[in-house]
Amino acid sequence: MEVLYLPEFGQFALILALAMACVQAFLPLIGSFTRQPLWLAYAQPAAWAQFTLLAISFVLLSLSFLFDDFSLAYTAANSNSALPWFYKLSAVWGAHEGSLLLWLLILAGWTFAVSLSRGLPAEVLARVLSVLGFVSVGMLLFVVFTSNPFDRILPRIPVDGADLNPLLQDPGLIFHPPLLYMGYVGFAVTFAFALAALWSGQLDSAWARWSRPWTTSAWAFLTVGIALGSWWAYYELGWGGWWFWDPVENASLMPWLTGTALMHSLAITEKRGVFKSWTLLLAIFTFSLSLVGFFLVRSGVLNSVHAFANDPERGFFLLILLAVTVGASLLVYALRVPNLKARVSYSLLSKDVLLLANNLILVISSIMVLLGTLYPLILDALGSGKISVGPPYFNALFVPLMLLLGVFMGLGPLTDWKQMQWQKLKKKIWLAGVITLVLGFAVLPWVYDGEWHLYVALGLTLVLWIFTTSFRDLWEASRTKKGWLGISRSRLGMFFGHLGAALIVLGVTMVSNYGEERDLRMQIDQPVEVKGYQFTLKKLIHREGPNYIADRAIVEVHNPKGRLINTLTPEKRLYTVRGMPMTQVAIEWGFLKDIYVAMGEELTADAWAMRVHYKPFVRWLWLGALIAALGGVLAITDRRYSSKKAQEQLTAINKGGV
Amino acid sequence: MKRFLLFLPLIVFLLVGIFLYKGLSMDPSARESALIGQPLPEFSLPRLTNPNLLVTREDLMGEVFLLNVWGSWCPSCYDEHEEIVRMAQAGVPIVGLNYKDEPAKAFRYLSQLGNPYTQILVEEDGLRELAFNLGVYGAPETFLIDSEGIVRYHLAGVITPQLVDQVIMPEVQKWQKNR
Amino acid sequence: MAKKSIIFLLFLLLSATSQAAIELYDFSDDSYRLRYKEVGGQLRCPKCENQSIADSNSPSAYDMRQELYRLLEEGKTDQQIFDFMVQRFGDYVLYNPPMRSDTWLLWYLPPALVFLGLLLAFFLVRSRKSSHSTAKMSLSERQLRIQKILELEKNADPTLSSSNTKESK
Repeated sequence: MEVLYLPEFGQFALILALAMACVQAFLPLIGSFTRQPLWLAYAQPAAWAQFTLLAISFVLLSLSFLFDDFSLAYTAANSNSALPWFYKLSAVWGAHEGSLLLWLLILAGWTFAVSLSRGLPAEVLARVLSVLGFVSVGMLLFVVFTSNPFDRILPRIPVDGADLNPLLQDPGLIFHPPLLYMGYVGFAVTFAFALAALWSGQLDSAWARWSRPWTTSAWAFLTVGIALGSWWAYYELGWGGWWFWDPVENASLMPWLTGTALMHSLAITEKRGVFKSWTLLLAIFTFSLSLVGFFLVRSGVLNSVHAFANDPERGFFLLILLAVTVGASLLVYALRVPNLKARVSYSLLSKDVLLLANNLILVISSIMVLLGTLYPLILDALGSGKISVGPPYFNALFVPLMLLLGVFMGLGPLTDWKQMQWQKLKKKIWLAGVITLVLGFAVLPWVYDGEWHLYVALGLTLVLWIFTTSFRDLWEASRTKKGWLGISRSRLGMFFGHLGAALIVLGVTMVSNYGEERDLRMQIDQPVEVKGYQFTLKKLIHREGPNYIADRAIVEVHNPKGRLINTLTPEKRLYTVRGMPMTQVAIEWGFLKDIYVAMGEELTADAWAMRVHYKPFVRWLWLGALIAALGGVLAITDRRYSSKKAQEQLTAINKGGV
Repeated sequence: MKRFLLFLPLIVFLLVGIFLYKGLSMDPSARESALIGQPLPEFSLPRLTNPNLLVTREDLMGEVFLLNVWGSWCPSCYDEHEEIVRMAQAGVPIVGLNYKDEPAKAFRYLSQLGNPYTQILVEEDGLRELAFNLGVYGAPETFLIDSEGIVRYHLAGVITPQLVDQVIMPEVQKWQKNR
Repeated sequence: MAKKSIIFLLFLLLSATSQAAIELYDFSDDSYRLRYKEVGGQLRCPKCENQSIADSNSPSAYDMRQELYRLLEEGKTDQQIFDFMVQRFGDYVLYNPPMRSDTWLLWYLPPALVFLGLLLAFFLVRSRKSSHSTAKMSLSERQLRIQKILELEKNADPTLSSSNTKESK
């Protein structure tokens, strides 16, 4: 069958893509030094070629999964003929080699999108594409030399594959990696703009304006990717948690934190021309953290349930890649950042300074997460033995940092650029402050269970502070001739971004303080009670799925008033190929609370040990993240970023300055 | 001064890089026992060959010996058994601790591979006696206890020939001299 | 050697699945139940890939949970329970890193950075404020000044572009 030869084409396409990436990277570089504009022009077509070739390679790998070609080592290790077709497809990125190919494809995709930009001067575009090309070259070398997904196991082709890890056989896990990678890799674009600016020495704020939509889109993707991961962990793993400060989770949070700071820093640099060196550093930092995370997850250096299979040889190659990319960019930064003193001033009470404080806290939070994640490694390397740094540490430090951040998040939008009189600001915030303190700190914490808890009060205060100040800002924005319809999309985007953040805080506060968990014995027709809800096990059945066998419980749930609100069907499955047991949790979900039932162990023929979770407001965690991401999308669609306007501006610039 | 500050991120990154490099050659799962330098915990366990006979800590005092935690369910134990036999033949007293196992299976294991142990203690599943108090979390694990009953060396993992020659035998000899 | 340690590790990993471990305990006091969850969440399973003993299915985690139950019923305090576990398994089993001389940096560096950072920002802004005060210039004065500065920069560095003059909102 001809299908058997397809993987070789896929491998060939990969190697060609490497060649194209080299063209894309080196030719503009050489052309820049030898002042030959023709060489700069190679960047764009090389980028297109690279994208096409990687797409071909990826499709061919997917085809070998769909057609059950187990002569491919990667397919044999991660797929199975009994696997449903959509999981066969998502299995393509289920392990190291394939997910790398996806990463590369996404990088090529972003590069392709950037290459279509109008409104960028040709030399700038060429330099940006060149930097992106270098990143591609590094990663392609890694794939081709150490992590080839097209390696064959010949001559003994296995009869069937080892199956996709059952934990990954889930809709959430289909989308989680691609979305995350869109975020991680998207920050490479801003990184490339920053390096291109340093390379050329042109550090005006046009660079900031060009970078903003790319940064915000990457940020939005990363936000959704992380939220999806958290949501998946919640409903799939059976322990009712949604964040564990696991090294791999931290690897995604760090670029998100600095990426948020970067987004805000670009705003200041674009509008006011200040903090340029900080913004450049943040651009380099954020993508560097993406790469550091990439290294941590795949090198085996840290313990994590999420980590890919470890191979120290690959780890070493990755470390070199990391060292060269980050080291070179930081070196370029240190050498090329000019001693710019901005010609614009600002006073202590100004949006500029508040944003600076905001970014400071975000960056320090990211450093704190990195410190906690790496500390066990550091101590071990120094011979001080093994310690663990887990949730108690991270929560203890992260919460106060976020509370502090919240103060600035509320004040920032309401403060003027450059300078503001305290009296004027006071007028804007006094009502918000009063509502926040009275309702948030004193009144609302009592509502839920009649007791006042400090952390609930702090959380609700933060939520109300951001709510009230954001609404106030929106109201201010509406006080123009065009009224509410005249509010710019970027202003609206900021509103939703901050609102989303506040909703996340609401979800976290409520679920962490008021959530409950009970392990109980459920026997057929004997109801048990948790938080006023009655759970009655009605039936236990045995069933078979496509690649698993399962025990299923039918549980009726009655609310405190006695009404039957739902019949839940949790399952405990055994995936036969890998011999792995898995619980399928059943959730009665709502906006005010989730009720969550997981099967534990069989006690007798008609009784099981089950776990019931009561999770108030937990959905707002992920809804808030979604709303914040949508805010980002809204901001990008602001008319000032339209390519038509950009084209007009470019023409004006080329005509000799405005 | 400003220039130096600009190099700070690079310097910090290089420092982090050095630790990451060291991390590549380390094993995040490997662990030193918390019992090193501490006395062997008190215990009272039956012998495999005579379940009515209870062995306590005092019975083992007075000489340097190895305590080897094993089970018939543990695949790596089969791999290292040869080395244990070799060390026993070299005169090292080795006490076996049969961990979370069944006596019948344990006997079968020994009849297949040989019995190098001076005696074998049995800690069945759920007992949480010596093994738990030693911080054992899997098999095979091996401890070296000196003549005063202090734990001096711990290995969580398979005993290889190189380890025997380069680490374990020298340690045994060292503590035997240290009476 | 490497192969053998991989086999050993694989054996360890086989029992570390990510599924919650659900057992039923009879607590003589309701507060013990809550503390069981809390303390269990703060103790790390010694052989798993980053799981607490409350979440892990492995036999050693099970043993530790049984001991946790026993110690709670005996009336031990949280600290006594942590000490008990550390005595046997080392500091590694504490998810809350102990305050030792070599973890001092871990706990104090972030707050120190916040403090220093805010202080630095404060002084940076204050020093800038005193050296510039262009707020009171008129529009035409400002335009003139901008033109002058641009000219000076252009003479000093011809590659600087002039595309950042429009302030958008």
